[in-house]
Amino acid sequence: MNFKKYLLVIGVVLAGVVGLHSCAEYAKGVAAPIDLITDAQLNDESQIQFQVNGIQRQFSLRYAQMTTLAGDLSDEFFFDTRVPNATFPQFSEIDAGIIALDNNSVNNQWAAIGTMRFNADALANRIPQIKFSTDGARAAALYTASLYGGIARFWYGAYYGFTPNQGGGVIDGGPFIPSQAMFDSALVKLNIALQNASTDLQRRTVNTIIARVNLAAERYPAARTAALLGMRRGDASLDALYDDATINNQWFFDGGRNRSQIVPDPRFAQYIAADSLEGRIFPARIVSGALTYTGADAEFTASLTSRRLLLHGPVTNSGLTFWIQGRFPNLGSPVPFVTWQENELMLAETALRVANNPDAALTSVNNVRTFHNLTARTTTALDSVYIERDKQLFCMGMRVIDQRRFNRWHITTANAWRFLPIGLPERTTNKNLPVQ
Amino acid sequence: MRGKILLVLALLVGSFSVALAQGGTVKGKVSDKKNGDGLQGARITLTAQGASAAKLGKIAGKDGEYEIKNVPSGKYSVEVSYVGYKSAAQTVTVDGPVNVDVNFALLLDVRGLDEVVVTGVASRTQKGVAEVAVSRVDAANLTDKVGYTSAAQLMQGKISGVTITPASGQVGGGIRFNVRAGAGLLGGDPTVFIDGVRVASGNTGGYATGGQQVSALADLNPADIENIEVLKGPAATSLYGPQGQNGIVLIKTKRGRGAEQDQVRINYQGIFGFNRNHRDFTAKDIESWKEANSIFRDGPIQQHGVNLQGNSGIFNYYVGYENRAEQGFVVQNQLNRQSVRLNLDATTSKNFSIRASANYVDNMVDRPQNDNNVIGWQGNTRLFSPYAPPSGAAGAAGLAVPNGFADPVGGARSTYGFTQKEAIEKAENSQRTQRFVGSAEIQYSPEFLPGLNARALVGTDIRNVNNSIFFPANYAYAGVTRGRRGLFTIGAERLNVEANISYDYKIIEGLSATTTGGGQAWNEVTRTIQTDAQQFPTELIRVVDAGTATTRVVAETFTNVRNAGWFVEQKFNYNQTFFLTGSVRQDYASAYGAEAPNIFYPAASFAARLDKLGFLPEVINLAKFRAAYGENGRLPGLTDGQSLLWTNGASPYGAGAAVSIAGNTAIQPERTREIELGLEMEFDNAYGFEATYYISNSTQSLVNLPRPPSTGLGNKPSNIAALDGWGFESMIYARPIQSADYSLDLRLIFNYADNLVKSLGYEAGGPAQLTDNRQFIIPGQRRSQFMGLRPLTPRFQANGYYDWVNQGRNGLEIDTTGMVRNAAGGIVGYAIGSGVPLYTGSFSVEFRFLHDFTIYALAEYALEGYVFNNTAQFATGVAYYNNPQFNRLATQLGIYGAGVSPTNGAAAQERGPGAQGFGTAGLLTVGRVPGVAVLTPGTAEYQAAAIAFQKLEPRIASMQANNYTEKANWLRIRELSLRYNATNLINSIVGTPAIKNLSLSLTANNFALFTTYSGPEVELNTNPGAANGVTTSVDFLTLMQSRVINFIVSFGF
Repeated sequence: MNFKKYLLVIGVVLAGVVGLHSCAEYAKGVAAPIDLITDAQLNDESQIQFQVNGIQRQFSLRYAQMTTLAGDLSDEFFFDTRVPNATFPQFSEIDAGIIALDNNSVNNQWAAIGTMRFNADALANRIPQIKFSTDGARAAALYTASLYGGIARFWYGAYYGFTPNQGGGVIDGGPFIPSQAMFDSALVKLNIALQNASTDLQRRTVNTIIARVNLAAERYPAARTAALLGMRRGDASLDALYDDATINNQWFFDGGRNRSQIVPDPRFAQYIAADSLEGRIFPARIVSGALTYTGADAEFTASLTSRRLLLHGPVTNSGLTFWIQGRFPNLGSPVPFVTWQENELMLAETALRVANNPDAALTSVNNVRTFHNLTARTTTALDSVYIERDKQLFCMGMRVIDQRRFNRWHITTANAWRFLPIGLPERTTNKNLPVQ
Repeated sequence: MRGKILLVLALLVGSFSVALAQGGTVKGKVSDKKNGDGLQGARITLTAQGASAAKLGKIAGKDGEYEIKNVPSGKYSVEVSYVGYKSAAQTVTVDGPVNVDVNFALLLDVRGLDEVVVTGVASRTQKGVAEVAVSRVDAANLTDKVGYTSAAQLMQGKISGVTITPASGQVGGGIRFNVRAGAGLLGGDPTVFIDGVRVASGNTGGYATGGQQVSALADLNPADIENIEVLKGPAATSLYGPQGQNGIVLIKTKRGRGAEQDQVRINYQGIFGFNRNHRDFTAKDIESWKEANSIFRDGPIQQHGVNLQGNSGIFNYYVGYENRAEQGFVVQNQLNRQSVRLNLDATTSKNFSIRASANYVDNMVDRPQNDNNVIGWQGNTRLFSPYAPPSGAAGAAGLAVPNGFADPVGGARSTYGFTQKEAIEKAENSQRTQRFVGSAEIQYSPEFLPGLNARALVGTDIRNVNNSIFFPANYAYAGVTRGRRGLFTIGAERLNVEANISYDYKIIEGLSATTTGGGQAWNEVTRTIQTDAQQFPTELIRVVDAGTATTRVVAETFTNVRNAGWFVEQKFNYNQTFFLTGSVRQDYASAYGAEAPNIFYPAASFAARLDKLGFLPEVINLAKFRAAYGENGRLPGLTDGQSLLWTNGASPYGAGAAVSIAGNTAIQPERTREIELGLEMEFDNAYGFEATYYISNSTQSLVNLPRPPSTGLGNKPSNIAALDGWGFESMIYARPIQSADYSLDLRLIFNYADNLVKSLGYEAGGPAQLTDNRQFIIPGQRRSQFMGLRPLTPRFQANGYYDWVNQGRNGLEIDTTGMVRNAAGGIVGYAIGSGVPLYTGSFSVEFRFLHDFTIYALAEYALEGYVFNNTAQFATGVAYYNNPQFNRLATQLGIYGAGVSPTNGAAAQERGPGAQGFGTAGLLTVGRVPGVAVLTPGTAEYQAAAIAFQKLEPRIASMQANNYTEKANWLRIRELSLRYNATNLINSIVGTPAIKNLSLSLTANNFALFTTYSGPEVELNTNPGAANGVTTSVDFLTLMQSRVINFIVSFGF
């Protein structure tokens, strides 16, 4: 072998050695993604606002969807194929209470609540690892994490169930937690939020939510205790925010001007027929023929401004009249999560149930009605509170809870779902749940 | 050396001035050894022996005669090649201006056994001695016969073990490959190389129009392709590493070698034709059949391509230009592609050569909204019954309600029930791809070390994709408020580098060996920018900034992925009879924030030419046994090894943290092992078969394992699953007739492929099953098996009427006979069948007659595959009433109008005479089909109607699988052509060989379809798609493939 051959062999061996080393280095040397952050990078006070925004974003994303599904499940809204563009069988199933375990509207929302709960809990778990510049900053972070962690747990307990009549949810792939225990878990979180609230409004708001959780759990004395510390007339509601560009109000697509998979029960029209001023509470719009929204709807907008219900009647559509809700007319319409009106009505109900004080109940109901310049009631009873809640909490997901509490379920068919089912995605992946 | 230089110079000069040369003449005849017929078109190449690689060439004329003049004195190797014949070579000496006669009698080579094929990343060998199954498509031989839109079409039905399925019938649409039994749990597409460039071959991305994206392979001009070779399965592709797990497709484009020495050959091809829907809907299919048919048209096709090929002996070049303008058979669908290619080869000496390839493409594709899309044509014309308005009135779509069709269903529901026809017409989706694919390759064989060969290649694929959408503000679209404009830009750059060095040497007499080592590296950078806005004040201005500021969305992504690997291969060859190869490869993949995962993949293969051992009859000219073992597998993705990564999500609160990826720090590369055994035999050089049996096993299969949704974390990349695959692929071929005027070629491909899920790692924390509730991945079953629940006998209400409400409910009594259970013990259903056909293949016949006429036909088939007819299920379902059979049965059962919800409350759904709960008079007659009588409950007829109706139950998923999964056997006349070669006619008229080639062809693609499937299109994406890789073969508003009729004219001079 001549010199050139030796050189070649040495060159090949060297190239091989360099090549072996280079493969790993080359593969590792990719440019970092520009849109990803490692979990450890969030362990800093400067990143708290970013995380708080993320939790609030999840809350908004989930809340409008939660209220549409809850409205469909209850007798507040219904699905009917004669409503133009109402076609989704998922809504049909929920409306009928015959809900397949693969209903993707139900399951997607279930998964997304899990994401919201994880985000909130992740921040709560991270807080001990972060050195805050002030105690106030630490409390503010813990307030948000606990408030929304509590709300997620409340939703599990109030809206989901393992069987048609057994409410409850699951935390982090664990076992099924029945509604009462889930509400307990929510209250633990909400009490931490209460302890870390920085303003009186925050404290009153959290108390109203605590009252709501207890009401849903049918723990009326505890509900009254919290409601007495809750929101007052004039307090700003805690809203889920939306806009045109980033996250949209799902009502616009599922039960609004863009598309109406679900429409309000005709009794809302009857409320207005009985007293036209009632429309100030729950504006809605009649649907006739094809629903085509192509531009600004001056008439509709005007109805919102005046808080009046528009009637384009008489309208026949195979002899039927349908309405769409007008409370959230736009992509960016905010959806109130909790209001002082709800607190008043909880006070009214618990005054009757716990304090045996009809006068206090009447005062609370009329506080709400007179705010809208509606005729004041002269007497009140649980039934009238039930109806007043139906109106005042329109589109807020409360009706399904009330129907169960008052045992006034609208479907008589045996085994109709009164909760949204925990679906197959959870049942087939979570070993802590019973085998189906 | 000086003499060699002079020879090179002489040849170079000769390129430009043949007249100056003063040499001898080499002439003779090339004929068929069997029948003596001359072989017109055979290529004769003279290669000067010595260091120079200078070559002279000629194409044999009529009767196979040739004459090469002005051959400088010297010793030459004269080689002859001709498609379908074995090559031959002789050595001659030219000494001055003399005539040297060299005649050749060639043996048939129907299967191309002498052709050199790729058998590994750095291995090339004759097909006749290849140790692994290699399939080859001679594209250049096909493109004159049939007009192809894309490279994918070229491959359909021609490669054993591989099926290629379009995503949709839209021009420019995406495709999917199915290779053997599919390696790894989730299968995948093969990696495609064009002239050594690892190109993007999947969907281009951008705005979807309902499940249809543009295929990156649609950018390649089929007329530029010389041949396509496919290596299937890890046994053959182990040396390609992870990129080879699902096969390797090697596309080689044409080079200048096709031209005669010192002449420029110019070829033109024109294609004129049209796309047409291959079937019309009828009243038996859907109520809306007229509207569904109304969107079809004849979409014209026009293509012009010209290429130049030149060959100076040292340099050769191929320059090609193509313009294809094509419209789909659905309005708004068109493609306009311009492609320029330059391939250049330089062989300056026997020691050194350079090959360069460059292709620039400008491809414009317009797509309508279609398929799974509420704004699409299919969704609006195939789902809704048109008989929407009250009796006697005109429908929204302008259709009169048929006389006597009382009280049609659905109120305002009608055809175009989602979106107005005019609005669909005005929606736009345009995509322009500008793309450069280029490579440079050098080969060096040093004179001082004979047998040593070094090769290096660099390739790049640079794409710039601009996709825009526009929805005018004066029309209504779901999810769009007063118009929408969107711009999506993709900038993607790929770079692949490979280098290897091999050394051929002799160990003992008869035993030679080759040692090869090398490496490959690949880098891809992808950037996307999306800008979107809605709420336009006018439809007349479409710039994105005319949208309302608060609706504007800007999104940006950036991804960089790499992998690199090295390999060593050792080959032994004993007397050209026994062949043995062993190799190993190690691969590394990029991983953000973690160590690059790496894995070793070994491979070994063996082949024996039994026909050379002397104990077989002489009529058997090939008897080859081969066996191969190989491993490879997918590597984890860029971010799979990270425990938790966050990204941003925009909101009214400001940008907020959102979980992006919750990975798995323990993730490892997967591993697929495959053994293949093959036997290839050929008789009398004209009849033969090749058969391959393979068995594969994937372990540590990478699966995005669904976490319980309550974790809030989505899927977890996991190594949990194990899958066995096996199959048989074969080809039988024959040329029973061969003469100057007649020849007949027959080819039958038969493939069988099956698989079995062995484990999902349930014991190790894996799931009991993966499912979309119709298809399942569970141990003991085929991957993506359709499973369903069979209800027991129909339920009836107390009044005797069919209990439609309870029949569709969860908890229905089911027939538990033969029910499959998952690993957790839960009932899954009974196994219906797999979405991937068990048997596939094709049959082709090519008959040349009267010398110049050729008839060619290719039929492709698939058996024992199943398709879920999601379209029919939807059209039948709750909101649509578009299934005539369902409506008829509903009327007979007295539950007509089924599916129309009452004003409120589920109890009221129990309808039928005597049922309670309807508050509005007249509802009971909704949907009654005219002329159909309501049957009497309790009668045998009523019972039979109930059973039939139950089989159309469209509501719950487990029953959907039972009722709407159809066996989808099919046979498709894929290609059909009649070609006339007018070359001889023209030349005999003119009197001199004025042209090299003139042919006229009338061709058809997808000429006819015979199928057991009821939908319009049976070929669906059969690779796992959505829902954790479970879903395959779901027909949801899939646009049928087009029947294409083309007239092709080709001429060259």
